[in-house]
Amino acid sequence: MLTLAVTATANTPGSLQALVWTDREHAREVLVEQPATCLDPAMLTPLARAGEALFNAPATLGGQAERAGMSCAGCHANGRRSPWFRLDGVSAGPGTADVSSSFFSPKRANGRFDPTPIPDLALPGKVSHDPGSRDLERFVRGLIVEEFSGDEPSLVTLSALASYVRAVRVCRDRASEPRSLGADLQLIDAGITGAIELLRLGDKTGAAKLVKGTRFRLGLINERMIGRGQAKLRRDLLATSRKLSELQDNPEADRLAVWLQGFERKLKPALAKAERGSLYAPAVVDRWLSGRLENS
Amino acid sequence: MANRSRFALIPLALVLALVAQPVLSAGGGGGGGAEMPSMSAPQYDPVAEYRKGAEAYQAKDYKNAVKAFQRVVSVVPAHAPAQFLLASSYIGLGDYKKAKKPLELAIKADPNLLDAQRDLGVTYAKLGETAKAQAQRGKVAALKASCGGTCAQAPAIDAALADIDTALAGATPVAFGPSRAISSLASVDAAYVDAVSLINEGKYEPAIALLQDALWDAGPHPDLLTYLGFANRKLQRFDTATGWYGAALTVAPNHRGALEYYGELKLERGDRAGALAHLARLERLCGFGCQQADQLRGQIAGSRASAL
Repeated sequence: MLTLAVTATANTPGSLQALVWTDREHAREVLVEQPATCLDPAMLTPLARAGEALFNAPATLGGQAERAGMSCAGCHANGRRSPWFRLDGVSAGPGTADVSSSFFSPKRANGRFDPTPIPDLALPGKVSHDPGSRDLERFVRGLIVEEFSGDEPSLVTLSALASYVRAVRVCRDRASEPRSLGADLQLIDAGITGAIELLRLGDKTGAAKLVKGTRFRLGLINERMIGRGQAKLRRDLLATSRKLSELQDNPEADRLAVWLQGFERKLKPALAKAERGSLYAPAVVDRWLSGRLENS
Repeated sequence: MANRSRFALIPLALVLALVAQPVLSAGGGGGGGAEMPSMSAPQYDPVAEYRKGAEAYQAKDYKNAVKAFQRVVSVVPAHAPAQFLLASSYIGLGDYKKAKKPLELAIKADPNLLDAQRDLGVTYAKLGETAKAQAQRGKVAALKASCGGTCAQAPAIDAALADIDTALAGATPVAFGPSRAISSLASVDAAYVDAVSLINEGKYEPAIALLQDALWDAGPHPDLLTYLGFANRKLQRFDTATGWYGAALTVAPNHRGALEYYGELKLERGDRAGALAHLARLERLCGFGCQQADQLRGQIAGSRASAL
């Protein structure tokens, strides 16, 4: 009487936060590459750098998304479009999402399943990027507060996010680029220097979100340090995250700068050395996906 | 309402990842750094065992189905589908005596399980417990009366009554076990998303029904158990919520969502020390930060401030 139709979804040998919102058929692509982004150097202000870090911090969206480790970049990898984003029940296929689902927030729910392709933020869309109109700031605020039930962002936070989005450009010479350790290290730097910048502008709440985002980023690096010889590195990452947690609720510019110096001096070189044997390396990813490499 | 917007959402992609591998490693979402489960974790992965049991049951390999479902219910006795499938496996082996207890437990966990109500009536009759069989028949008949005999379930109720009558007459009904299908993981996703959406809208009863239904497909997944706890807690059914949270933590002792929500329940019930213990555990687990710890910390701080 009971019929069984359990289908095995495409799978990976273990769960990684980096793969949570993605189509498992494309785990390799998600782990080793991302859409190429060329930021407009003329628009790359310290505020825009802070915006990039906020864009990648789940705490920016707050609410339910933060709990699940989802940031703006979950749908818009590297500020562009995540072609392999997938959440069954919300997505009709990879790269689509029903943004009016109660799943994220009841405020914009329309009671219909109507997923649409995730837009590429580097291309002209329905929202004007003209800084004079501030339409983008209003749109981003709506996303955070109404679409994701996040806390009300400060004006500085909104300006930072909008500045970053305005700087995102298509690269003429390439469609994708490696999803390397360097990309995560750059976001660590952007997170801490961005927090210092937001503190300078009086946005302590935004700075706190960046500290949280930086700890989250350390976790993402940590989960890729999969090798048996990388245990000490993982312990060091955990220790430095716990150190940073002391500044999470009450961030101070001087202490953040000291933390960043320490990270760059001690951990960054060790991480760079370990990259080749980690899940940043395509060959290691391939071995891991084929089940020939166990998490240690 | 204030808490509604804070409902913990654990993405289904993560759910799938965890369904597809040992649930014992479930962290319940968050930014990496999930540690390995404590040594108090159960010996079996109940989700994998449930799947094994369902596959064996489908293949009419009732002996192995019993083995697998026994492991599931040893960890999560309140999982109605597993109790029912265990009983159905025993019936498949012709062992009505052993089927009786799990049938009773299945109905206790989910009184709406008509198929289990039917099979319990049949089982009593087959064991010669005529009075109990008649009483069980009365319960099934009452279901029909309560829906005026015209509800969608009415034909199934009639069939159940006929099966119990057949057993009372000394014959063996052909049908036993669940009449529903266990659907593919893809449809579980949809049900899960629907349930979470309902919770976000404050529609807790329909969400509970959907989550209960999803237990058939996903087995005792800790996320589902946690959300059953959450929805029941919102309906002020604290004992029921406690049971579901406890079950979630039995399956996955390091489940962040369950630790947070159970901690909040303890705080609401005046058990501040219990809430603090949950927070301490979350702090240990969330080396790279997690909102579950932040939220519980905030709730505890808020309760202290309001008490001053």
